[in-house]
Amino acid sequence: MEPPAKGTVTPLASLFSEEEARKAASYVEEKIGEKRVEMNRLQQFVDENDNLINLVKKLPDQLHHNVMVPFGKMAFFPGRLIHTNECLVLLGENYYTDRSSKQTVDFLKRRDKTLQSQIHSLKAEIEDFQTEASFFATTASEAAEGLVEIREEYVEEDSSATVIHSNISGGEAEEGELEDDDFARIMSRLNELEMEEEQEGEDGGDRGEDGGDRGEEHDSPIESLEESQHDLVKGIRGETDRGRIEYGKQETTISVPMKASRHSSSIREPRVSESRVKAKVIQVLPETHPHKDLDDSLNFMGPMAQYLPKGDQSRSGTAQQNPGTWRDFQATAAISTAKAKTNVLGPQKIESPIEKPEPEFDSTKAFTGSIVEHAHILETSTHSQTQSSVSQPSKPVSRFKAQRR
Amino acid sequence: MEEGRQKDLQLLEEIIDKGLKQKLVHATASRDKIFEEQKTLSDLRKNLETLEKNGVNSLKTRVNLGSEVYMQAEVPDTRHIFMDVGLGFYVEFTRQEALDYIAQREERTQKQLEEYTGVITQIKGRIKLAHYQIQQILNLPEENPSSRQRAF
Repeated sequence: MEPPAKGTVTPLASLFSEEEARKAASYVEEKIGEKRVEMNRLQQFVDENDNLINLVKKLPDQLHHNVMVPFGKMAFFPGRLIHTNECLVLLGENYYTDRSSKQTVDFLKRRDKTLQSQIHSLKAEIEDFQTEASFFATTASEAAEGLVEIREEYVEEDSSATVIHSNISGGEAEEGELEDDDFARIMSRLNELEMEEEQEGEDGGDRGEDGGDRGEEHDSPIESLEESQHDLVKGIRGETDRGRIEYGKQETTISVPMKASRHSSSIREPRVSESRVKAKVIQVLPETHPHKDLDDSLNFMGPMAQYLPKGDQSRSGTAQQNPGTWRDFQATAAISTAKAKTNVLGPQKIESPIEKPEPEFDSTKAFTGSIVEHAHILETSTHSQTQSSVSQPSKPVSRFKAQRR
Repeated sequence: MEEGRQKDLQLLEEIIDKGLKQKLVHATASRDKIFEEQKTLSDLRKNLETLEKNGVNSLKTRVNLGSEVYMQAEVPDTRHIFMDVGLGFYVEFTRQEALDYIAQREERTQKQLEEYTGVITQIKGRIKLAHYQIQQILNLPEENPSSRQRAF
């Protein structure tokens, strides 16, 4: 499925020798230790400073304080602190100055600010070193594990042939295979569902109404829908890993519309999201199988019915602008033929296309870009289509089906 | 194999060197502390003797409140002084008693100094010996083990 990817495989160990990385990591950690020691020292200064500020604030409360006056390191005299408002402060470089207590407190506060800024800068340095160290450590461990850097050419057509820049090990190849399996699995599932829908005829009527309900609500969320569609499209044709995510999304959406179609509940709220999701999915589907037979194309159109406002029964659910691009290729043929099948196919078909989350892009060149859905255009197109279609059946069905008749 | 043995011996001696040098550093540090103590004691003694000589009873000084912030302090009566006698105890002495105590303390300090100096000298000697042995091995690589053992 994937064309042979041309690329290079470089073992990480060749780029960053493990030993060197470890050495660098340990060296950086040493530096970190040094900086930490420095920071502790500064923190001690800050604490000492704070204590001193408190002390100097309290001292002028009394005229004299009875203290023990040190006399060298090993002896002291009992004495008194006098002139408690006057302090001799060292400015640095053997310069001293007499200051009052308040002035001393201010001086100490300024000193505190300087210390704090120093601590901040040290902290920043430590953080830098830490990131460096962690980088080296991870590189060393990766190199030890024998990770390889795989670079491949980006091939536009193939979804799987995308640029893979990753330090994933050889498991990367496995993931691609898994995705292919997912593709195949979902495709087969979709095929099965298509068959089922063709067999179940009348159930489509109820579903059609539900489709209409959903369609009405689409008017407002059209914009978001477009975006989501864009995303979805991108996801499909973009990186495989994202594609995988899209798989998951779509698979969940599959269950949602199924539920909605089966129960003719009138709850609109949940439907909005459902239909939105559904619409997302649906939009992708046409991409994937533009070349399929008419039934399939009809199926794609079926979901389009959802976009139409429910109340407007007169508007048959036909050519919406959204499928426009791919419809232009096929839709006219689809409308003219096999209309009868639309009823049956409608909602069920909706589900089946939804069931094909990830299309195979190699075959679908009809749909090349993003899907742009315009509500008003849809309605207008619907109107135009309606005129050519048969009158609405008494049973509420999707406009699409009605048009098909 | 002689060369190999030589190398081993050399390594061993280097290791010894490192160990010995570490010990030397430690011993020197301890001795420095004792030196400081001795200096403090001698300063104190000199001050007290000055006070005695001039019959000074009261004293005005500046007290370090921390971080080099000083405040004036007055000592009205210098006859009684508290001295650190080790283990966190401070004994109240009169000036004369203090002087006597300081004299005794200085003697003890001196003895400690001598002890430490001896240890340091010993370590230095061992280092020298190790160096000599290394030199012997390097200079006479062809000599048979018997002659090397002679160096021991």
